[in-house]
Amino acid sequence: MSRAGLILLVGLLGAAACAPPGPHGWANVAFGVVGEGTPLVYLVGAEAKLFALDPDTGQVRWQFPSEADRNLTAVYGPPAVGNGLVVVGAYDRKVYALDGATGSARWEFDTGAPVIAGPAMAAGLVVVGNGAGRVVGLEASSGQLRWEFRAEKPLWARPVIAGPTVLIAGMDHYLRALDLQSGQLRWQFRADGALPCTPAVDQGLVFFGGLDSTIRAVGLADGVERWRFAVGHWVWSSPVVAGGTVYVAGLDRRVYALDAATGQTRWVYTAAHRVKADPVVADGVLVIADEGGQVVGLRPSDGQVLWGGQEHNLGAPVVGSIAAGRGRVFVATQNYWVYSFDSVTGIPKWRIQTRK
Amino acid sequence: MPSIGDLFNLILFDPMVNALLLLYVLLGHNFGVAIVAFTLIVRVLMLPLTLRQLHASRKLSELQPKIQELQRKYRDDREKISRETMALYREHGVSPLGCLVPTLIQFPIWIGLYQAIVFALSDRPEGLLGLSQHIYPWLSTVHQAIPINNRFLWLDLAHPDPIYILPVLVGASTWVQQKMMTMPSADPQQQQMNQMMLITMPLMFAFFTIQFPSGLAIYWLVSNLISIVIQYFVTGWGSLLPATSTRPKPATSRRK
Repeated sequence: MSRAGLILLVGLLGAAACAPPGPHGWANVAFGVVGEGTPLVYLVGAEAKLFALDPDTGQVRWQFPSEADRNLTAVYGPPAVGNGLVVVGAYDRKVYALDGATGSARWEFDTGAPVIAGPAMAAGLVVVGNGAGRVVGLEASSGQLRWEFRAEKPLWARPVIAGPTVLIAGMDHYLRALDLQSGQLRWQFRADGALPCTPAVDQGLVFFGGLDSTIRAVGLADGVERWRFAVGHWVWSSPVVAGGTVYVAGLDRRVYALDAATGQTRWVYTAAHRVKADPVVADGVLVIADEGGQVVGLRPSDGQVLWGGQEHNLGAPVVGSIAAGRGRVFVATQNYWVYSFDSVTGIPKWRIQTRK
Repeated sequence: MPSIGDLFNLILFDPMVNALLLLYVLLGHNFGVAIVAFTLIVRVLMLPLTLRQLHASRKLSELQPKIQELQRKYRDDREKISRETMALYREHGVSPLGCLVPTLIQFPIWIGLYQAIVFALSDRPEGLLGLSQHIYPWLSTVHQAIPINNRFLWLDLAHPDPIYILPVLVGASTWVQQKMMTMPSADPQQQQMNQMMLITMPLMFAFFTIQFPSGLAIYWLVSNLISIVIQYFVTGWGSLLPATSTRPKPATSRRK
């Protein structure tokens, strides 16, 4: 081989090896009732489009953008549903508000940097953070800017609205509580690692995990730590709380059930692969999905597997949120499929592929 | 049984990623400085291979006039040329693989290094999720330092240089290195190839620098500067300053 050939080979190999990844986005599902009580499943697919699906049949009612050759670059968080709207944040820096029933555009807002976190909506406000650490509070009806707050590093976690407070977990290690109406800082808590996942709130406590491989509970009113629990790897999945137990999945393949008041372990379930997707409690069943595409229904009281066989192996990673409604769970994979299962029995109901 | 990819990760990629991130923590959370330090360390570790390659290359170049003479002498007998050339190599203790093998060994190291920098710099969720599989669980200081601070001088290390200073520097340093490496040749075909390399290599790397994260360009620039220094001590300025080119004391007097 000549020297020229060798060096060119180095160049080609280098180019192939260095191709920067993404942005590809993650498939997320949300369930909501809009308009005159019309229930819909909102899917933000890995192809960066928003789909409204019939929860009973999986039929696509509408999609946004409707043009086949347009998308939102990448979407990482689930949409927020309420006030007759569905709101989604995208990597193209914008927040889009659509009519939840028809998909027609209502307004859009340019945040100035890629939006990784999904939005939250309550009390007539939409709150969203962006990749530059900017949090904005927008009028849900018009998209007008009401207030803004600056964090030190990107925000990848969806805000959580709890009464008059909005909670923002940041990659700068801080969990912050802001006043929902003004955006004023009420308190902040510094963890030992970045916080990419959305907190959960229950009974005056805020539960969250992060890249310090620790699950914590802090007071909603004062931000003071109540307990902490060390796990084997990063926590990138949002906790879910039900019946006094907080359920958290970690990248150590384990799902932890902890006493919400004390942090004591109730049980631990080990999945086949890492669990990044947010779990959900639906009709008394804790549903999780792992990066290998295995969906499992667990009994919340003791972690026993209720369902989760071969027919629940979707064959592609599940990394976004799982939605529940009308007795079903809805799970989306990174290869453009969305599945519906009976939440109690796990019986498959329908599946569709949004992109071939 | 582990796949080739698993072995590559275990032996090269994972140690490189963790070393790079550890340097970032130790050097004041400055990733630009960490890349410079990391490049220096890797190049020092690879120095024996680099020197072997340079010496083999120099010896081959020194034999070029004799090889061309053989080609003229036996121009109608390819087999004879091949036999006599091999005999010449044996006589002077040169192996044609001498410069190929060290280069081939360096390939996976380069690829691992490139990937380590790109992964560590990722400012997108999928990049960080991928990185999580490669960080040693016991390096808690590294876990706490993520996401890394991408700012260095005027650069966001995760993105290309917006004012194109780095592409110029990388292109220029590649040209200097390439020019120093090029041995004078009487063969017109060889001369043509040398000319082509002298133009295409700097342009290619300048183009990569425009496309890829500037953190990677920092690595290329520092690596080029180190190569220029090593090259100077082994072969002098080479074709860069042919009239005044004098090689400093050989750095490898102990070598066979």
